[in-house]
Amino acid sequence: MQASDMSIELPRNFNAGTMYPPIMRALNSLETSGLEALDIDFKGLKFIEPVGVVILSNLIEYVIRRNVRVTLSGLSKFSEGTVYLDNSGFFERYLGCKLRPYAKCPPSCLPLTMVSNAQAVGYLHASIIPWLSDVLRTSEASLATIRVCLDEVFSNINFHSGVDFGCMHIQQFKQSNEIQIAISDFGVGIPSNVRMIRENINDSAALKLACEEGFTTQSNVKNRGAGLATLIRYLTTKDRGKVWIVSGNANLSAIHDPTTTSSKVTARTTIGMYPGTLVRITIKPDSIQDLATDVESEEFSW
Amino acid sequence: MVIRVLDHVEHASTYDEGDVIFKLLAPRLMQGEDVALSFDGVSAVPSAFINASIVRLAEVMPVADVRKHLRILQSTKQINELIRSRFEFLASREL
Repeated sequence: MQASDMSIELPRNFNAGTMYPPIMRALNSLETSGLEALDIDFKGLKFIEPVGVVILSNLIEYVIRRNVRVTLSGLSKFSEGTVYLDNSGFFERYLGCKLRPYAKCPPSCLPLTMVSNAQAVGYLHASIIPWLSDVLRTSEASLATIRVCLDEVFSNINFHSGVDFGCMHIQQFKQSNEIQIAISDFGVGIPSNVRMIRENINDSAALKLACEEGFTTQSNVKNRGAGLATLIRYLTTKDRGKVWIVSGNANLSAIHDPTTTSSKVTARTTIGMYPGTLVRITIKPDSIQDLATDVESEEFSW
Repeated sequence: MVIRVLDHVEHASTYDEGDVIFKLLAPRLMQGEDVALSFDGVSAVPSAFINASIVRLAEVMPVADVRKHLRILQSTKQINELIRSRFEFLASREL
């Protein structure tokens, strides 16, 4: 292996908690030694969480965009993790074929999909909402607030990331019936955007600020500073779900706060850097009836 | 005059769709005309649509005049809550 080539081994369980060491190794090499080829070694991988599919995809897209050749190795034996990746369409995208010819996304998940800004609204209306309606056994109309939440994430990518698509994967957990939606872009990241107008702010403070209503970087004439705040409000104020955002050297969790019946938003500095932005939305299954009340007719008054 | 959103845009989901509605509303409201905006067939909208179509009106005319001349028809709780919260936020910034 040449000096500008490197291999990263995936940990036994790849998830949002274990993602930083392999990501940091790749990014450090990219910045310091002009990485030309990156091999991702899957032989130690036993499990991968749904959000891990999007994280891996994001890393690969990020380095490919910087002209790094990517190879995947350690795939001679199948583990639960590689089978999950295979079923989610990961290897089909990055190897050009499935590991197992019969690999197929189960009804409980939507495969890894690259969603361009131009296609986002159509994909949301034509694919995601009908699928959610099917697995949650509810009408598409009652999921309108969920559609709006995803609209807010796609708008955030469109207005702020500087890239023209994000990767997405959705999984329904059988036992809890929770729906987990992971969307990531490999753009400039939220903290870097915030620092365009708040020069010295650290990543965690920047992430928290970006989620406050009315804060806008004005990076785009269409940006009015309400998207992430709206996403968090709809899901957490009434305990319908939770939001987790990772960007740069920070993450932010937003959950329902039963003591104040509002949102509890916590931002933290992370041990590593995430290239771009990752948003994970968790929808509680028992919130579906409540979500349906949002679309009830109501007379408007100022 | 009644402007039905879905007569002019496909989904009411994006900033650009909101901009179409803004261009229909703004000249009429600025002339003091009473306009009703109908969300017939729309169950929920994201902030980008409301920002582009209605919140921007506050940049070209006083908020009091927007409230006086613009009526919202056939809307839902989500749409109403979003419009109100965006205007309440604008009002709080003006205090």
